[in-house]
Amino acid sequence: MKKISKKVVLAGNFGVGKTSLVRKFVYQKFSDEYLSTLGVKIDRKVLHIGDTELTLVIWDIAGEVNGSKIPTSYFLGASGLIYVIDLSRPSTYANVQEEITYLEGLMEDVSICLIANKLDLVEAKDLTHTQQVVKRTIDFFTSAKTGENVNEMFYFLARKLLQVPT
Amino acid sequence: MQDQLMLKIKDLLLADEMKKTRALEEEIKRLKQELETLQPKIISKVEQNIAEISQPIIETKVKRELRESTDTLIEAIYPLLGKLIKKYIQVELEKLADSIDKQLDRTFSLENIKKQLIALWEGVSYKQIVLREAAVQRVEVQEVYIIEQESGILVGKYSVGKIIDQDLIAGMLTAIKAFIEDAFNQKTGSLDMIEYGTFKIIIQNSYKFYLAAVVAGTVDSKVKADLLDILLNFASKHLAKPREELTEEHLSKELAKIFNQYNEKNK
Repeated sequence: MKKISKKVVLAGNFGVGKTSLVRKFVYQKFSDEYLSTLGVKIDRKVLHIGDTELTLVIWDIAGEVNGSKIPTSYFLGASGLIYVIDLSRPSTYANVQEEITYLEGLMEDVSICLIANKLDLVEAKDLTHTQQVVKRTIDFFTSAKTGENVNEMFYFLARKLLQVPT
Repeated sequence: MQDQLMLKIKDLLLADEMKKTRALEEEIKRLKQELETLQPKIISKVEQNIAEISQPIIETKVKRELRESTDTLIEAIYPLLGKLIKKYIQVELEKLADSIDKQLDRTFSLENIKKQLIALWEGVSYKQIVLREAAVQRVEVQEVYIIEQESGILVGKYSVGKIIDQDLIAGMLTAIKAFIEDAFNQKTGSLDMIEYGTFKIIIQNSYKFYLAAVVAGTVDSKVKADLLDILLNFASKHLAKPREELTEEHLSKELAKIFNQYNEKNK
């Protein structure tokens, strides 16, 4: 079996549910305190896809993407980017395209996954409207609370990283 | 008879003047008494007024004197300070003398002369030699990680025990390193050692990777320099290849060869 490790970065505005998404997907060993001190918390999840054992090293980065408080080096060397927005707060997706473009500039050949979280807080009819406002295709609508689409989203990104058809 | 007549005439002629004189005498007496009671009050009032008026003048004068006569003042204070300093130095010298006596008792033995010579030969301080010998714990390399600089991905590892999660440690170590280098805006420098209790994490940077060795025991500058050399040699021998050619299995095997031998030698 082939073993591969990839760095995946979770980004998005404060309070969109990045940490909750990771918590739903990974059994966490480190306390969330690291987020407020170092501005990042790292978790790991091993996935088996085909004949490959893929280790996702997930960097959950606190705060704003363009915020000067976060070292830009946290984003470097990542193969995957999960950009999270909050469906219940339009301000969290007002500048999605600009922020993703900024991050793409920091990372080479990065696979991007745009996630709209907090599905449990909105009506189905609102989703079309959000998609219209966010000009980029939303890959998954998730709920870290109910767990809806969380695993699917991480596996989707994993396949993209391995260039296996999704 | 004549005298009585004269007095009568005098009374008749000077009655008014004498009355005035008596009144004046009484007035003088009264004023004298009044002045006696008022005197202390007046004095204190005058004193107070003088103080109020003269204070700013005196202050300005003193300030000017201080400024203009610094040398004189120092000259006056110096002997006092000198005495204090002299006393302090005396006490400290006595303490030092005591300490030297104790050191000399221990130092002039054959064993210690040997240690001094070793220190001289190895280019480390005598203190480090003594510390090294005093250390009960031997130096043991417990973990070695080869980590990709930017991503923090672990590409090779060596471990004597079971460590919870080396991928996470590699990631967190990279984050800490990035955080410190960013916080102090040290793009040219880099973090080269982390100390925690009896553990030291020695970090050797190469171009795309960095190597981190977790060492237990007394790590003096010689041990650190030796380990940094070993890590650097390892990097130039095994890491200067395209990324696709580097496999975790191979790198970990090579690390094990080197550090098993190192730990064996230091037992």
